[in-house]
Amino acid sequence: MAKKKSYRQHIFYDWCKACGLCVAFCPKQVYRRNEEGQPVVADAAKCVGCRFCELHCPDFAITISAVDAPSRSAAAHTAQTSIEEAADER
Amino acid sequence: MKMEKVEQLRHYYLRHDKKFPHVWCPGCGNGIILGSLIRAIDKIGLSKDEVVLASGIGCAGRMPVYADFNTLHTTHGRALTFATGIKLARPELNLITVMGDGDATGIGGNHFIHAARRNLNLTAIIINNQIYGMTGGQYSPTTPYGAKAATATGGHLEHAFSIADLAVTAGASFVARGTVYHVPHLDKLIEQGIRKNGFAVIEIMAYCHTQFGRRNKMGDAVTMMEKLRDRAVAVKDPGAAGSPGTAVAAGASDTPGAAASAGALDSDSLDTLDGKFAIGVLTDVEKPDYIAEYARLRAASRLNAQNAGNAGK
Ligand SMILES: Cc1ncc(C[n+]2csc(CCOP(=O)(O)OP(=O)(O)O)c2C)c(N)n1
Ligand code: SF4
Ligand code: SF4
Ligand code: SF4
Ligand SMILES: [Mg+2]
Repeated sequence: MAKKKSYRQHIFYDWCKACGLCVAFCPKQVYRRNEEGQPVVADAAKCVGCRFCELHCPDFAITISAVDAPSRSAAAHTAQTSIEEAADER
Repeated sequence: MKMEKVEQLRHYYLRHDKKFPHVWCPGCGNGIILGSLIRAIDKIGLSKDEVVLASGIGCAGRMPVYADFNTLHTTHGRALTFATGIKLARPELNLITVMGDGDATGIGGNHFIHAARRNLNLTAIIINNQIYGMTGGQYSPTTPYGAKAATATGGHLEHAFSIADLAVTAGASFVARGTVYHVPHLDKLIEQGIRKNGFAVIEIMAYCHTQFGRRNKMGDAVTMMEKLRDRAVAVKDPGAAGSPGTAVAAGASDTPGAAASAGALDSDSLDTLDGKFAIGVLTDVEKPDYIAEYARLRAASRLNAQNAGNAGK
């Protein structure tokens, strides 16, 4: 049986302005706000990897990564390689 | 460790020599739109050198500062003017303008309608936060009737127009409306707009909680974002069925769910603080763009001149 995917939420605090969008709209209440209003990961296991937080963070401060995805997924690797190649060409 | 795709995009497209976090207020949707624009350009596969990003003045107009394309930060209302000149001189480049509602349809309104009428192959992204954000909340051409603004403290006496409707009427060949809540949908609209051969307008409904929301007791960025989610209704793409404009698959909460037919919604609702408005591709028509027309005329003139020369021999 396919194992349930898990995800890691990386927050780059230097760029986070504590707007609260990620905390408010995460459908699984993965985050809570600390005293400064910045998100802290309260329950990583609940994350479904929808990337709503990553796409809506106005400050590019959130990165979601899949953990234990089979070989970090062959598809992801292809995308990565092609962009590196493209960058080289440019 | 390999970088995630999203990290690669940030490293590649954001300017390393600029100060981050950027200048926009906490929670302002402008940063979300910058993300969408970068993903759309990356998806199309344009190189950074093939893209020109031009803006006017305003909070929206700050965008090119942060993006590593050929960029111009021009004067208020003149993004399309500069873009027109560049496109005529270098038609092989992809010209994208980013403007605010005041920038594009207030001081730049005349440039906007005539760029649409001319159908030059440009992409106009207009961030409609219904106010002059940068200068302190003066009303703009899209500030709704009755709303409070720094220059309408007793409630606005004038009426808002719909930017998308204006663009359709003025002759733009592609017109779409999205929001900063419906981000995957917005990515697609921007991609379609850039790919379109002709004048393409993407009106993006955003908010300015700092200058507009506060005065109108509309709450913080989160509350204003919820409002956009609830007010937007997706229309069916007037073009081919199954094209990105019809992407109304339920599921992802930031993908518009309900489908209405185009025209079912009254854009007058944008003259209110809470009426529903349409999002999606509103117009997508084929007509010769200005560059092709100009090339055709030039070829014909050459031929005429040649024939005249031959006849004289
Ligand atoms: C010729 C000229 N007139 C007025 C201004 C002042 N001004 C700067 S930005 C702006 C309006 C900005 O509103 P909008 O275009 O909606 O952008 P936003 O800040 O809301 O993103 C005005 C009036 C200017 N810079 N130049
Ligand atoms: S959305 Fe981004 S800037 Fe806003 S609180 Fe979350 S991480 Fe911080
Ligand atoms: S990816 Fe989705 S579920 Fe996971 S933290 Fe972000 S918003 Fe929540
Ligand atoms: S003033 Fe308004 S438009 Fe400008 S950055 Fe702040 S929230 Fe955004
Ligand atoms: Mg504005």
